Amino acid sequence: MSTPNAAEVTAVDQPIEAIHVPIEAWIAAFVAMFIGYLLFSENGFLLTENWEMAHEFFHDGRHSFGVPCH
Amino acid sequence: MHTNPVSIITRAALAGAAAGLLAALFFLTVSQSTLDEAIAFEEQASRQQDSETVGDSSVDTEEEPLVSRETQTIGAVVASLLYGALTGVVFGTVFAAVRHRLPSETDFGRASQLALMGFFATAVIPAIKYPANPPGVGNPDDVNQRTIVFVTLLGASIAVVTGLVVLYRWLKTRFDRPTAQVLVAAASVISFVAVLVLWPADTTVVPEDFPADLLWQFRIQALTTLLITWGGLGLFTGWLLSRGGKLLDLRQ
Repeated sequence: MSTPNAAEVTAVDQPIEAIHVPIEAWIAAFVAMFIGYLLFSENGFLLTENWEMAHEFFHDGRHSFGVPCH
Repeated sequence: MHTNPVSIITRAALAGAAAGLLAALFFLTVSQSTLDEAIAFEEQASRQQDSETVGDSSVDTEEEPLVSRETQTIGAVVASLLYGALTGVVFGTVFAAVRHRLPSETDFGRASQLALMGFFATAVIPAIKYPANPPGVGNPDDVNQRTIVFVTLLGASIAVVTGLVVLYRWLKTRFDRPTAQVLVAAASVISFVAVLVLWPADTTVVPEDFPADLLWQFRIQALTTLLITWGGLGLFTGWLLSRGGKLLDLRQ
């Protein structure tokens, strides 16, 4: 386990190949960001009704992550 | 070596959840008491105001919270895990896309470098311009305006960090490494100062008698929460992409 194998040693000196990230992964990342916005930063800017409950549930969390809140 | 984007993103999301768990532990052991103190201060202040206006302190005008304090504690733990996991998904996607452009020679180093950039762009810069506030600080009337400037500042600082990486790679093709590093350091200072100056001033009004040390403690703890999250995300992702990942491979 402690000795690196040959592939690991040579990989250091060679430029590594680019990884193709499919569009689905980017969509997932944007969805994740949007969910993050809704959970942490939504104060009635996009949603007005029915969001109060989620807002209050995550209230301590959003404060502890430094997100603006009233 | 991992070249499958889905495997990288999954690992980063797992790493993020683990980092979020550490942030939740920090909340439960350290910052929750600060938050409780701030809420106690807020309630005391509103009671005083009520007794001044009504003239009778025995009348209980305190509004019942929509979600109890106990449930909000569970909410904070869930929020920490989600913050870590969601950040992990975004981090993993970006990591897969830019991995070959990051200067370190190992995945552990590359993940750490990207996490450091993420921490700087999404935690340090916002903390300088719009520092965190405990409950009881800030006017509900301008919360949407504060949210917009906060979110756009996040976007701008991510754009600046991206631009600086592109600039550094271009400078390296034209100059020797130390010169390129000095030039990119100068460009960083100029561009971040420009963003901090351009964005609207913080409109948060701190109540006059709010304890300064409590506000300071809360702000430092909020930044620490983000440091734990980003630090954990970078280190755990790096570990899962190297040695630790073998544990996951066995199950696949």
